[in-house]
Amino acid sequence: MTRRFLAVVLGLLLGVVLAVAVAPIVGIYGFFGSRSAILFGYASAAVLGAVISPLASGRASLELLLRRSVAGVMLAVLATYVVRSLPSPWVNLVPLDGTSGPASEMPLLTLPALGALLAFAFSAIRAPLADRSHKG
Amino acid sequence: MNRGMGRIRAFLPKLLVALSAVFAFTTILSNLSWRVDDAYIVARYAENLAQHGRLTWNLGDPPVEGFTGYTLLSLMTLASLLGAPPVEVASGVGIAALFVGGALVCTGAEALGASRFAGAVGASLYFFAVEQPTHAVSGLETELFMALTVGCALVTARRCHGEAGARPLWLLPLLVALCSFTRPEGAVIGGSFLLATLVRERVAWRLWLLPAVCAALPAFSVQVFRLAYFGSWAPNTYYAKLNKSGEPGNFVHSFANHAGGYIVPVILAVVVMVVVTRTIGSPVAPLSAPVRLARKGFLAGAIPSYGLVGASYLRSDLVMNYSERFAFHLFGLSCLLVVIAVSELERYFLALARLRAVRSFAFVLVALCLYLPFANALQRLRGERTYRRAYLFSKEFHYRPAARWLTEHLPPGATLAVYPDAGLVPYLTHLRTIDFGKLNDAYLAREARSSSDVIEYFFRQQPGALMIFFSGGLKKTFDKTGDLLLADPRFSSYYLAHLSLFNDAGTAIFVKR
Repeated sequence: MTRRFLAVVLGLLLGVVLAVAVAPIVGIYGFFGSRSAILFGYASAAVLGAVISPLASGRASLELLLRRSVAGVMLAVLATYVVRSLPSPWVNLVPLDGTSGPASEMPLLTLPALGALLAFAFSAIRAPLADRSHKG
Repeated sequence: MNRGMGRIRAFLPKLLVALSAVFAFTTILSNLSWRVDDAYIVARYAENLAQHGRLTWNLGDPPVEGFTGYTLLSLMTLASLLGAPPVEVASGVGIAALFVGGALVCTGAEALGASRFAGAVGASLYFFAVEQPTHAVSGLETELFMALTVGCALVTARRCHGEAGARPLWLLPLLVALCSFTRPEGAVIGGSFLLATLVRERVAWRLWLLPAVCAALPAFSVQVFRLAYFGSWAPNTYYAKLNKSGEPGNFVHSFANHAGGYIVPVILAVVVMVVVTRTIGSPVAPLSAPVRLARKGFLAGAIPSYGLVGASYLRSDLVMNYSERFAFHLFGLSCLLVVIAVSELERYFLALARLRAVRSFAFVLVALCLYLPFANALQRLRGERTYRRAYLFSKEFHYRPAARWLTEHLPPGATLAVYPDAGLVPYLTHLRTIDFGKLNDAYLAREARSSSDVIEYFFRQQPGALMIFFSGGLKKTFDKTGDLLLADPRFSSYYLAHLSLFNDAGTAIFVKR
């Protein structure tokens, strides 16, 4: 339980750090609706997934950690796609002074949540499972 | 608890399909009078054939093939012979085809080794896509064509469940022939599925040789007829749509919009689940051999269909691409792809059984991905309704009054030029018509390269009247060529006789002095 809690906190913190780092960049380009801002949003989610998934799942062989990293990237990208595609209005973060453009709500909102959720999901992978060899 | 889950599993697919079908049905009911202008082009050919025995656009002129596909023409001709309104009959066939196509997607899931739920998702998408009712009532062959492509795909898949040559091969060639009769793309799509079947069952070639020849015979006969009667290898509509500028047409944007909304979410979910399961999940239960073969057969037909049809559309200026019509020609196959994708999702989810938290997280994402196509459809609903209303208004407020005016003021032997819509007005007036939309004019479709060619042709023809569409008040017509025509000094020999404008859009009739 403690391990899981720590993993979630770590995921949340990593998400916040990444969001704060990414938001100004994405916001600037997002104001002009640039495609690169969207790609940057996906890339930041992928980086978060790649880092937090093996970290949260505990110690294991390098191969296993890489597999979990790949799985984390895929889930992070899918989560970003879903969050971008759902036809729902965004929380306006302007009062929090957290944006510099319309696209920057995305990382501020999604990256911390994504980090926490991925950490929660992957921290449930226990050590005995981690040592099993996986056949493709 | 298990019995309850069992009941939900049995009931949920039926509920999904029923709700979507009811949605499509109610939309159709509230748009029963909606027809697309091009349907009246085919109806004019049908009535000329039924009443005068000539398959042509203008009775006194050399025949031109300004329609796409003979199935719709045959249905309309038969309706005309029986005294029924041809466009209304075609609309009825389109409505029936929508529900037949959806039922095929739903019941045909088994042939692709998919569950009832997967079939229900595919069928629900087929019914729920907001453009489907538009295509159903339009009076064109879009829904019929879609249903036929689904039929070709499912017969191909079903045959893979038996031994090669175990059953007579007549249904598939018949469907392929009908498909290619309905639209020329049907020869590619149906032919791809037939070829996949013939290759798989090549050991029984003696059994399939005759059916395959019989399937090719109608298409061959049409080609011979086309050459003999119209003097051309391809219909005039092909040349009219051929992009002469060399730039890619509007199909890429249209298909991206269509696929991005309806198909990509599910495909993306499958790709992610496959990678996640294969990296951290347990081994996936293998498919049975017949199901593997059936899906291979489907893909062997579908992939060339997408590729070849897409390539031909890329080269074209897609005329009358309302409600992404050309993308919807492939929608039946896309819905079957969704059926397979959902089935794979179910299979791969089972392999994540031990990683409950990861599976739960993935489940939420995948469920949202399955919801996205329906959410996108709902988002497009208002736009589609607005389009239908605006189009219907244009027809009732501009074109019907224009047709009445022309009938009252022009002699029956007069020549009318239409720029660009050549459907309702020529159909109602029965006047000899020069179609500056190019579909029904060989010179404009094949030889006119520039605006000056078109303008010179107009003044060579000297029509008694011109009906032209305005999009920006009296200063802007349908396109640059139309603007140049009206600005030509020789056009002073025409005067504005009838005007119908609403919000700066509408029609004007100019009559020769």
